[in-house]
Amino acid sequence: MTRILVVEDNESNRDMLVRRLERRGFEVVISVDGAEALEIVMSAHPDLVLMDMGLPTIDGYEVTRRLRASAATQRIPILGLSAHAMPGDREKAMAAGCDDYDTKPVEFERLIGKIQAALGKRGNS
Amino acid sequence: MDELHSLLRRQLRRQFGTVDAIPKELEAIVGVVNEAYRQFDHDRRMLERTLELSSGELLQANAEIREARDASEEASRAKSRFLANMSHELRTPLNAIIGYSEMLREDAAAQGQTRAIADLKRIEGAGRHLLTLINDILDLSKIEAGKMDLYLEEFDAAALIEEVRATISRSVEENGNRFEVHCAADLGRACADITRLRQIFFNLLSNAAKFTKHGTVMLEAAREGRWLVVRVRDTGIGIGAEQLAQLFQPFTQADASTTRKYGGTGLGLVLCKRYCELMGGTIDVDSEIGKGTTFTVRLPMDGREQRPEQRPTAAAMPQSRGLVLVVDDDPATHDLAARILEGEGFATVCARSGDEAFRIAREQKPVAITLDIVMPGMSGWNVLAALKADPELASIPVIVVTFLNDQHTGYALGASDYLVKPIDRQRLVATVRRLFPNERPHHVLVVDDERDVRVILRDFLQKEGFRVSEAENGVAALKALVDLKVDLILLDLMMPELDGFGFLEQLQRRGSQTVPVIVLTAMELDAAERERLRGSVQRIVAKRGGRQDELAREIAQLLRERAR
Repeated sequence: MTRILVVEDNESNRDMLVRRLERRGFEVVISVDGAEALEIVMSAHPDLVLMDMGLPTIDGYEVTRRLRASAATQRIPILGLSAHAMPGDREKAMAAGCDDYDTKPVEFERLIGKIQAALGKRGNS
Repeated sequence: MDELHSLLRRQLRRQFGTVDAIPKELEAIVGVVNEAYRQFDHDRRMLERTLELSSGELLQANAEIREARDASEEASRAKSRFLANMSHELRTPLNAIIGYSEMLREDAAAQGQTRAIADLKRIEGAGRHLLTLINDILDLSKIEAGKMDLYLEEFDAAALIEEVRATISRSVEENGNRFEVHCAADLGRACADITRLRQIFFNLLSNAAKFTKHGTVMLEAAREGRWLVVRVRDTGIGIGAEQLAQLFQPFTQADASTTRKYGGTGLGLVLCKRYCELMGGTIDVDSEIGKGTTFTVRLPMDGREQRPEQRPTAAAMPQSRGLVLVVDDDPATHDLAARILEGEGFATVCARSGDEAFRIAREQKPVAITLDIVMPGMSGWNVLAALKADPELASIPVIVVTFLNDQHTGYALGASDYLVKPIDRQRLVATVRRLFPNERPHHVLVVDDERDVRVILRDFLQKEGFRVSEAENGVAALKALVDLKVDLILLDLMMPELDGFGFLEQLQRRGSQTVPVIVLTAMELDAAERERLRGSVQRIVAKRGGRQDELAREIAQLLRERAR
């Protein structure tokens, strides 16, 4: 089963995402801040990370950069999520190393499409 | 004052010997002169004082204006920050509202709870509505912060109107309205930001529908010269004169009771106006209470013409042969000259006056300058003379392009060439080629089964300085490639014996797929066919509607990229 790590500090957003992803047959692990996310990636070996970019402790940009910098985690696809929709926000996430980016509120079907695309792309390479 | 008086008296005494000998009349005149002088001196002092005061006040006022400007810039930045933050704060809970209601709706559907489904749809709908409002506010703040980027693309204008009609007709007809669409037959292709255009039309149409009951809503599109003109008419409640004046101001929906009755933020029209302006167009409104309202949108058919300053500079076009400065006060000439020069691989930059030309010439050091003579302000002759007198700029070749027939003056002042308007494409091309001799002619292979098409392309390409070979199908093309070294292949898809797809496969199998291929086709390609072409062709051009000069520019561009 495909395992997704959801990194999100807002409780209802996290709960909603987790339950909807589980309904679609994904196995979901969670973390509530950046520091915890870095630990859980190492122990849970997710197939993909869904990362809110605005996180307490270490923010999503920094977490992404660190995951990309380490040989053990650099190939895990990362989808950035943020409620920031100003120009430049997407570029910032992509520059940090995200494979794709989407804004909240999440259009769920579109998100599922992006998840599948990211899994497919990494899987083939 | 008294000094003057005594000076005059001394003079008089010397003249007449004694004080008594001075005629009384003269004494009186001296008195009058003295008094006049006294008055004059007083006035002068008053004026000086006033001047001192007003220059002080001016300085003070200047300082105040500067402060006010700084404050308003800071306020504007603060507003943008606030809007960005607010958008973020609103989106986070909306994410939960929309997401949970979707989830619940899925559950309700699974359990057959029809009533709950309807309610949940309302919650979700309200959430989405809120989201569009937030997006509108965000768009507005992006425009005001100068951060709104347009994505200009070419499209079939009539097809867009039809798409708008199909999408919105149901909701327009909701209030018992009739929806009529009149689209002129000769609309042709336009170039604009199609997403923003849709947004403008949807906005105007849904407004018209909202304020019209059991009436008619009309969408009319026509072409007027270089303008695409779209009107949205309704037979609705109309807008009063006072409210018309405020219509395009943010946050001022016609009046507060309108908001209660009809909803909306009043941002829709503001955005429409800003988008129109960004694309170089206008929006106007005409309305009568009780009769209805007409909105008229005017946009340039080619949005690129309106933004000459957005043309890429030489630095932005690494493959460019250099930057040419086009000096002309007429934007249409800018555009034409720029197209021709870009087709030849130059980047262009435009100046509308002699002063601007100088500034750009000094800053950007173009490789050549085209110069109009009759311009407001500094005439082209003066610009030419001054360019040639400036040691830093004298070596830049100047091509005079003007209505005037005065070659003699032009060459005498140092022009490298002299072209009489209207601009003749071939003469300008010949001139720049003479000034900047190119490498050997590029060799193009035209593969098409229709002889007429081959002839048209051959003639056209030869005129543009290419060497051309022809083949009537895929097999012939493969044969030709054994002997010929070509730089580019123009490929038709539907051909007998071996079609374009088959030809590309063979080419790849041979491992000689290093030659760039442009597909020229009259076929409507479906996704699977596009997928088959992906990776093996540089570009797909529709045979109908494609402009020849654009094709030439494209070919030249591809060849230059390959030459590197």
